[in-house]
Amino acid sequence: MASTSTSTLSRKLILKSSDGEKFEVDENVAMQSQTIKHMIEDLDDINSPIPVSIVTGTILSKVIEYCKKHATEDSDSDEQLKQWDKEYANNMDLNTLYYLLLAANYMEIKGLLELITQCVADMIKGKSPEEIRAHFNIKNDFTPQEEANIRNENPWAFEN
Amino acid sequence: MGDSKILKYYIRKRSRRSTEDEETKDRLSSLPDAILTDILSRLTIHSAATTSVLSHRWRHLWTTITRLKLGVHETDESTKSNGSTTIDHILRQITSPKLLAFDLDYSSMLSVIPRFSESEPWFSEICRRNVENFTLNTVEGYPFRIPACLVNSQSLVSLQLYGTLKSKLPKNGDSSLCSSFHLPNLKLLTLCTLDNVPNWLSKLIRSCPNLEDLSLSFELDYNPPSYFALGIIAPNLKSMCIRMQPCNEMQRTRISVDAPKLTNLEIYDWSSIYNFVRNPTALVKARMSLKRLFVGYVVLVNWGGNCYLEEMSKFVGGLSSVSNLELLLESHSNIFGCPNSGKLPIFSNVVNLETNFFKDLLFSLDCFPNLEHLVVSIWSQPADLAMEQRYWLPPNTIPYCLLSKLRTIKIKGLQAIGDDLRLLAYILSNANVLEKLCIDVRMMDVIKAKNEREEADIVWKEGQYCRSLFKLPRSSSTCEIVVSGRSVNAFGNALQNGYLTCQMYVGK
Repeated sequence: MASTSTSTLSRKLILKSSDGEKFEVDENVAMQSQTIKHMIEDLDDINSPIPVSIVTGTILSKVIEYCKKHATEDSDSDEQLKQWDKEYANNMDLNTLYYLLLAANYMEIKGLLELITQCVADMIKGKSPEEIRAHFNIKNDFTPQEEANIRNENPWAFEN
Repeated sequence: MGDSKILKYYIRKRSRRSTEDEETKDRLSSLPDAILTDILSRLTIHSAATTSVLSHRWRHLWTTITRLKLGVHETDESTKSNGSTTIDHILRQITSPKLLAFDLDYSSMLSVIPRFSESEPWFSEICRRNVENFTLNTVEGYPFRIPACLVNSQSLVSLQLYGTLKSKLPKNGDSSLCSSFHLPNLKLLTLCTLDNVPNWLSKLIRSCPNLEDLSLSFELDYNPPSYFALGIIAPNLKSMCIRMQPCNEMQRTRISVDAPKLTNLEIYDWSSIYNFVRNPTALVKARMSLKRLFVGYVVLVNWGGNCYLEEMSKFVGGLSSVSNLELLLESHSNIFGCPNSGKLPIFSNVVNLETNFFKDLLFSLDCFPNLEHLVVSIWSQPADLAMEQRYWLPPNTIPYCLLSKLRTIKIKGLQAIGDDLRLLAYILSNANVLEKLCIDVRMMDVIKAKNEREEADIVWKEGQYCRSLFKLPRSSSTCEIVVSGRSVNAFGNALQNGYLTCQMYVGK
């Protein structure tokens, strides 16, 4: 396959998305995923593609972009890395964020999962229930009476 | 070749649903509970509880949050119905068996005296939930008693208590509680601030075998003159910070440290005597400030007299593995001041040094044979002119690091008094590899200038000082000098044809 052994330092791995797209990445990039790390340990032939079954190619390429940035630690300061993370998350639409969350959760990439959950939390923060529903297309399936009862359970949460 | 290139095999078979459908779908609600709990745990309790009315899916999700941050507000005291507060109400609803973090904040209570007795049931409740990280901010000035359940917990990993902490333990008998100290998983402990050095503290620290980060702050109460003792035995401690503020010079503490794995040390303490049971050989960074925070204290020279200096120079000597050292001294703690240099420790790893002693600098440099970067901060010691108004004496031999190691020197707050210039001349004529000398001049009489004429006079004086500085012969021909005063900024590496390159700012 495409593994050219020019560098002995970093081995190459091939990740295969759910829709069959293949990505060649450095081992240290892929190893940020605990799931892949465990898969490699059980694998005899690392040249065969590693299936990342629930993640599509589009999302996997975004995950790899994140892992690449965080694999080269000393090139950027913490501050720069934070800024990069912020821009990375801000450039995603809701749909992508949702799939990234599932991917990060499945692939067990702690940093990415934290970044995206915080990003979604920031979207909820400070919004009224109506605003949250509108933002995320959540359908209110309570009757007005039911909703009023719930509000009465924790009136302190709805004061403002 | 193609190091970071992504190989793309384009087999894209996308089952395209209508884009409209994609966009109006409620994806958030369809995420697994664990992810939603994580998201809600990052919100304030108000925002999290708000989500209970979104839809049936969200009805009870917020009660599973694993991080709780609660503020105790003044209004809580008045709006309680049937004897329970909002916090009681919240805690009753939270269902998570394991709390990652609990953060309780009293600091917004300004006009009402906090009733800590009410909070005791909360702490027991929280401890029952196997809390890992506990942070408490109480109101300064209102003594808070450390709850018993917090000093005996399997789950606690970090415990941070801020406020005025009572050194007396809860009433169920000091001795019995002491014997029940058990924090097997605690890694981080912050107690800020204690009004005493309680005798149970050594025991508490010993009951945390995995402690890595310890931060203690003391503001000693008005007590009769007293001697305290503290033993810090922590085999896994990596970072330690101690701040000690006695209320008078009669309160003294002896602190003995046995933490062989220490890598980071910070001490702000002018009164206690420290000693190492075993020297920490992995120490990288140390910051020791042995000077008073406020000028008002009288330092009794006879606090063990030479004993203090002797023991403290031994302690500082125990830091000899550091590469970064910050050492701030004053007259009573000037371990470099006494010229019986036989006892002075050698710091062969120190590359970066920050100090406040200037007149004793040359003597002390012998202790730092590999020093490359030196910062001297002089300005912050108006109370201790005794240390700077003396005359300095050239050492018998030129310090080794000055001759062949020192690359940068920064002097902050040079008052340009006495024989400062002669000392600088000595440095410049011997520092063979010096690349940069930065001097920040704070002439004493600048503050006193009453009118424009006097001010102009100061500008002139500063200019003259710069001029004489630049004229000094330098043994390192490439050495750059930067001088910044209040109104004169000069830089360059030579006084060209007798002219000085400088910027001048006149006025304020």
